[in-house]
Parts: sequence; C-alpha cells; structure tokens
Amino acid sequence: MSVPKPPASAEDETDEALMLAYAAGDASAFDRLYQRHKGALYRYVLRHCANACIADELFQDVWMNVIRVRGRYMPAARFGSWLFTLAHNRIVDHWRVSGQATMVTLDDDDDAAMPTALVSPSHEQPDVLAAASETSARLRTALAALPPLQRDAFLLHQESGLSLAEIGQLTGVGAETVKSRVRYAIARLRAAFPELGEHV
Amino acid sequence: MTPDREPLDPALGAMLRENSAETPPAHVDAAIMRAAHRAVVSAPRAHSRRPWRLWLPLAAAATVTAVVIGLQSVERQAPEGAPAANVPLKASTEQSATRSDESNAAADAPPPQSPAAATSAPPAAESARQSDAARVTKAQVSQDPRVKEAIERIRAFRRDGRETEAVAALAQLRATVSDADVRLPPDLRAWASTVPR
Repeated sequence: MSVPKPPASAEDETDEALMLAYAAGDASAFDRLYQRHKGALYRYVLRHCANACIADELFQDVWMNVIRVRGRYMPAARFGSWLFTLAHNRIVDHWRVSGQATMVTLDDDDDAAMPTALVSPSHEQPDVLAAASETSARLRTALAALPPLQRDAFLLHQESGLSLAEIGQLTGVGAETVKSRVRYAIARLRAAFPELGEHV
Repeated sequence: MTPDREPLDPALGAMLRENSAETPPAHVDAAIMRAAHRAVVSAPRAHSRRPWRLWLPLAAAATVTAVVIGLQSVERQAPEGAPAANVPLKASTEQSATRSDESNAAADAPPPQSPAAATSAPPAAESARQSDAARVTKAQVSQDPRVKEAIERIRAFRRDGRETEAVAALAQLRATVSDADVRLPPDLRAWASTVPR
C-alpha cells in the first residue's frame, strides 16, 4: 500500500511552480512569490537609483511586467534569473531615458571613466541620509559611486543569488568578465570602508 | 551554493547583509498585490479556455459521424421490396406483423368460441401456437390465394356449426400446403391445433 504523499508546504514549492500556478490563475501563488523576492529585488533597484521614489516606480514596473507576461513564462531558467533579467532590463531602460545610457557602454574597468551621474543629486541626499543609519548611508553613497556595470554585477551577485555564469548570461558577458567586475566593485567598496581591513 | 556563488568578500558581504533592511513601502506592496490579483480574476484562465477550444471540433465531428451512421442504418433497415411468400422475415418485423395480424383477425373473427373450445388447447399446443404465430406474417397469410380461400371456407363452416366440413377443409389445406397451420390466422390456428393430422 502506498503511503500518501504529504502536501508540499509553502516553503517546498519552487519559484517556478509558483509562477506557473500564478499563470494558471492561482493568485495566492503570486503572494508567496512576491514575499520571497521583494526584498532582494527592491534593494537591487534601490541601490541602483539612490532615489527611493524612482526605485519604487522601477520596482513596481518590474512586478507589473511579471504580471503582464505571466502567460508566456517558461521555466527554462530559474525564476530568480528571469526576474532579475526583467529588473536589469528595466534599469537599463531607465538609464537610457534619463540620459545615462552612455555610461552603460563605458569601459567601467577604467578609473578615468568613473561615473558620478548616478549619485543622487545633493538635494536628495539629506532625506536619504536622515532616514538611514550612517553605515547604510555610506554604503549607498559608495555603491552609487561605482561604475554602473560594476555596480550591476556586484548587486546581482549580492542580491539575486545567481551564479557568475547566470549573471553573465543575464548581462550578455562571460562569467570571467562578471567576476572581474565584481572584484573591481569590491575593491572600491573596501576603499570606502577602511575599517573592514585588508581583503585577503 | 555553487562554486562561483562563493562570497568574494565575506566581511563586505556581512556588512551588506546587516544593512539590507530596505523593503518596498506598504503602498507599493499593496498596489502590486492588487494588480496581481485583479489580473487573474478579470482574465479568463488559459487552461480553462483551452479544453473547450480543443473539444469543440471533436464534438462537431462526433455529431456528424453519429448522424451519418444513423442514416446508413435506417437505409439498411428499410424494405427493398416485398419478401417471397415462403421466406420467413426477421424476428422484429415478424413480431410487429403478428401483432397487426392478430388485431386484424380479431376484427374479422366471429364471436368467441365456446369456452370449452378456447380452453381445450393444452399448454404445449398453446406454446406451439405462439411459436408459430411468431413466425407467420401477414404477407404469408394474405398472398397465397389457396390459403385465403381455405381460411374463408373454414370460417364459414365453423360459423355455421359445420365442424366436420371445417375439419375436412383444413385437411385439404394441409394436403395442399405443407405449413398450412402456420399460415392460418391466430383464431383458426388455435382450433387447428386441436384437429389431428
């Protein structure tokens, strides 16, 4: 006699299964999916923008896109990879619209090309700084000072849970390039936080 | 964790995790959830539409097939011409013809026989009569003029109480037609079963 299989708990359900369930009409599946990924995705967007209002708008756009294209979702890749691809593309669009498109194509490994345009305007910073702790504010400033592609690679590696190879696929470069960008970003962030000591 | 998911800088990673409390504002959460729920409530489900779309042509094809098969079977069952007088028909047509024959015979029949004559038939003879009745047809009874004429004469003799002449007419019919008893109408068949050959 076969033992009946216990129903999978909410934690056991994969992201892909939840997304398919949502595409089939199960709204509660979206709720669980959203709870799992909203924090990481929001931090990814927020740390790219340094402007909470714009981050809210971009974050909302990404999820609206998920809702809109739910019927075309194919679990060929991990849901997280798909979700962060949508977010990455939305941020690149935002760069283009806001006149920062050229920064995407800069050789971000070149110190001379260090962009500063993504750093929030000074009139925005007091609000941000007041709301966040000193470390958070320093971190945000340091991230904003990174070249976009380095920042993108670093944030994707940090927040999305994707591998370097997956990030490479997502951004259209090789895994070694991603690794190089992440290392450059770490070096610059460490420079902003000397109290962390020497990185071995 | 895959090899290339190894933290590239544990100290920096820890600091980032400690300062990763940012979450979307409640109104953004609410707007997204509301849109997500509204999208699946307002849109008809894809998987509930598909079966109907798939089954529609199948249902149409099944209906057409059923109609064609039904028409063909009706054409096959329709009589192509009058059967030969001595060819037994199929049971279904026989039974309906027998019922019709019985009703006609009842209309033409003389007043009921004496109760003794009606009840004198043994059960075996009665079952044989019913078996014969199942096989005889209206066509068999009416198409052979010799049988028709003999039936009329037997009825007339019996109506007049001339039993000897009726038995003689039956004997003559039996001599002429091999299955004479089968061709008799039910009212005479019951009587004929009591007449020895």
